[in-house]
Amino acid sequence: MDPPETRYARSGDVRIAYQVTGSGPLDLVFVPGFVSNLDLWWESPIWSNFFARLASFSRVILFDKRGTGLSDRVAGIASLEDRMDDVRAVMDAVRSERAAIHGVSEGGAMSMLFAATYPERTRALALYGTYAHYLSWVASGAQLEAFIATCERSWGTGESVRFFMPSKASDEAFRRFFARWERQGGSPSAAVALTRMNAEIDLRPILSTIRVPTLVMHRVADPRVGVEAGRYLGANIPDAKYVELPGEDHIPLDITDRLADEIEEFLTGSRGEAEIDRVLATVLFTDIVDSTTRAVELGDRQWRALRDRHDSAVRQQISRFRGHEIKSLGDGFLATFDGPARAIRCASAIAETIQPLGIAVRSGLHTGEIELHGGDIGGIAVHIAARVAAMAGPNETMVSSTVRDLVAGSGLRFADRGHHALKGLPEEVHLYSALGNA
Amino acid sequence: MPPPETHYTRNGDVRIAYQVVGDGPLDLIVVPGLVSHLDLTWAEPAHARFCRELAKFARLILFDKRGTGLSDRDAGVAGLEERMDDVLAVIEAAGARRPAMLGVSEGGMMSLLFAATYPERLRALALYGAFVHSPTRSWPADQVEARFDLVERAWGTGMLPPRVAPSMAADQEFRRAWSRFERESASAAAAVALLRIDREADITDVLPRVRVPTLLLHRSGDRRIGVENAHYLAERVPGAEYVELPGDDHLPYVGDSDRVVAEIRTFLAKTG
Repeated sequence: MDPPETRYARSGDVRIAYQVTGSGPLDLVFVPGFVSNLDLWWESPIWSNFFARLASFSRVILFDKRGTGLSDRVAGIASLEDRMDDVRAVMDAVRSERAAIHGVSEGGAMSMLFAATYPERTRALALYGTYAHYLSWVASGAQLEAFIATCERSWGTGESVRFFMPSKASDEAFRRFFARWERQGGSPSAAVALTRMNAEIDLRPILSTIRVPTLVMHRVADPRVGVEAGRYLGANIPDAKYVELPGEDHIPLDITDRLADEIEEFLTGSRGEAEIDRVLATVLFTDIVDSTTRAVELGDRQWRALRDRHDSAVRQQISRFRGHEIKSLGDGFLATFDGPARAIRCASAIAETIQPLGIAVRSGLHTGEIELHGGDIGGIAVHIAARVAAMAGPNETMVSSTVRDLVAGSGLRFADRGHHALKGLPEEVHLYSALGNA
Repeated sequence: MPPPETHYTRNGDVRIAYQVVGDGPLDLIVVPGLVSHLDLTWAEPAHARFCRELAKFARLILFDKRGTGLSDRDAGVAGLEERMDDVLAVIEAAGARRPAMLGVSEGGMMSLLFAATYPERLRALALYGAFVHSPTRSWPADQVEARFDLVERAWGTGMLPPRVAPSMAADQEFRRAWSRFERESASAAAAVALLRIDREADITDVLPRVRVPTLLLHRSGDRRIGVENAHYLAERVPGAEYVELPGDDHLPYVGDSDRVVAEIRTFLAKTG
C-alpha cells in the first residue's frame, strides 16, 4: 500500500515526521514503540491493514519519534517531556484539539505522561504492551546490559527480533524485514540512547493522576514486557479497563485485528450489531433418485401427479420438524433448520413417507453459516450440503461431521462413510450416514 | 435468603423450572454449568450474592436444565439442540426480549451454539469459564468407561471443591454444602449422562459463526477448566473480547466474584 504523504511538524528546533490517514470523526494518535519508520509501516500488509482498520472510524495520525525514522535524527538522549511535547507539536500541526492516544510498548510511557499532563487534549488512552517502570518489567542489570550489548554489536542485522518476537526468531524472511526495521528506524547509537533513557523511566507515581478513559491491553506471555507490567497499569490507572490477550510475542503482528477491535470498541463505545443476514443453519438438500428414468417410464402426466404428492409429503415433514422451505428444486427441496437433529429426523421421515410412492430420495445435510438473500440463501454451507447430498444413496441421509458433532445426546446413530474430496471444496469432508435412533 | 418464586414452562412434555430476579433494564438469562439447582443456588451465600449482584443491573432469568435441579428429571438429560429449545421456552415464558446470555462453564457450549443459531434472539453473549472440548476428551480411550464409573461413584461426595473452588476447599461447611448441591442437582447417572454428551459434542466448526457481541471471562489459574480453553475460544469467536481474571477458582461466585460481575456489567452496558 502506498504510504500517505509525509509532513513535518516543528517541536522546538526538531522536525517530527508525521502522516495522516482516514477521516473518521475522532482523532487517534499512534505513538509507536522503540523505533519506527513511517514509510516501512506501509510495506507490511498487516500493519497497513491495521491502520486502515483504525482509519475506518478515526483520523489516524502517525509519527516517528525524534531520533528515529523519518524525524530529525537528533543525537543523544531526549527527555520524556521533550518527546511528549513532540506529540503535542504533531497534534497542533494537524489542528487536532483533542485526540485519543494509542501508545504501544515504549511509546506507552510518553502517552501516559501526555494523558496525565494534557487531559483536556486527550480524549482517551489505549495502551498495548507497555509499562510504568522499565527496570521492574522489561529488563534490568545484566539483562539490560545484554540488550544494549546486542544493539551495539549487531543493530541492523535483525538480531533483536528474538527479544520482541521469539516465534519469528528463525524465520529468515522476517528477520531480514526486521533488520531493515532496525536500520531504518534508528542508528545503533539511537537505539542505545533510547534504551538508556527508557531504563530511567518510572511513571508509577503519576499513574493515579491519569484521569482519561484508559484501555490497557497486554499479552499474557509477553516475552519482552512481562504481563505484570500490564496488570499493574490496569490496577493503578484509575478506572482503567484491562484486557489480557493470548500470545507469546511482544510485537502483536498476529493479533492486529483484535487490537483494532478492542480500540474501536473502547473509543466508539460500540461494536457492530449482530449481522442477522448471516446465520448458522443446518441445510438440507433432497433429491429424487433416478428421476429422469422414472419420468420417462411414467409419462409426463403421471410423473407430474407423483411429483405433486412427493412435494406435499416433503413439505409436510419439513414443517413438522420446524424447518423452512427455501425452494423446490424440481426433483427435490432445499430447506433449512435451526436444529441439526431435527433436520436429520426430517430427512429420515421424508425417505420413509416417500417410499410408498415407489420412488426414493437421497438427502444431504451440513451445518454452517448461510447468507440470507430475500427468500433465498447462499454461502459455502449451501454448496457443501448439495455436495453431501450427491454422495447419498437411495433413501440415505448423508451428513457432514459438523452435523454429527452437534447432535451428541440426541440418540441418533451414524455409520462412518469416510473422508471425501467434494467438488469445489479445498478440504476433504468427513461423511456419515444417519441410521436413525439408537 | 429465601429463593425467588420458581415457575415452570413447558417444552413439549417436559417442564423446565425457572426464576426471574430483579428488574434491571436488560434481560440476562444464565445458562448454568453442568448441573444446577434453583433453590440451593440461594442457600449458598456466595452464589446468592453473585446472583443478587447480577440482578442489580439486569432482570436475571435462571433455570435448571432438563434432567437436573427443579426441572423434570424423568425426561432425562438431552443434547444441545433440545437444551436450546428449552432455553427458547424459558425466554418466551419469562417474557424476555432479546436477552443477553451468560453461559457458565459447561453451559458455554450450548450458549455459543444458541448465539450462532439465533443471533436475532440475543443482545450479547458473556461466557465464564467456558470450553468447547470437555476435559473428558483427553481421557485415554481405554480408560473412558473406568473414569466415568469413577465419576459416578464419587458424585455427591464432595470430591470437586479442590478443583472447582480451591480457595474454599479447606472450608468444611462449603464442602458439605457442595456435596449436597451435587446430590440434589442431579443423580450420579444424570451427571454422567451429561458428561457423556459433552464428550461427544463438538461445536468447534460453529465458533467462527458466532456473530453476537461476545465476552469471554476466564480465571488465569482455573483448576477445573484450564485457561487455554478460553484462549482457544478467543482465537475463534469473531471479535470476542477476552478478559483474563486473576484467581484459580472455577466457580464464578467463589473468589473475586465482584470482578466477574463488574466485567459482565461493563460489557453489557456497551451492547445495544
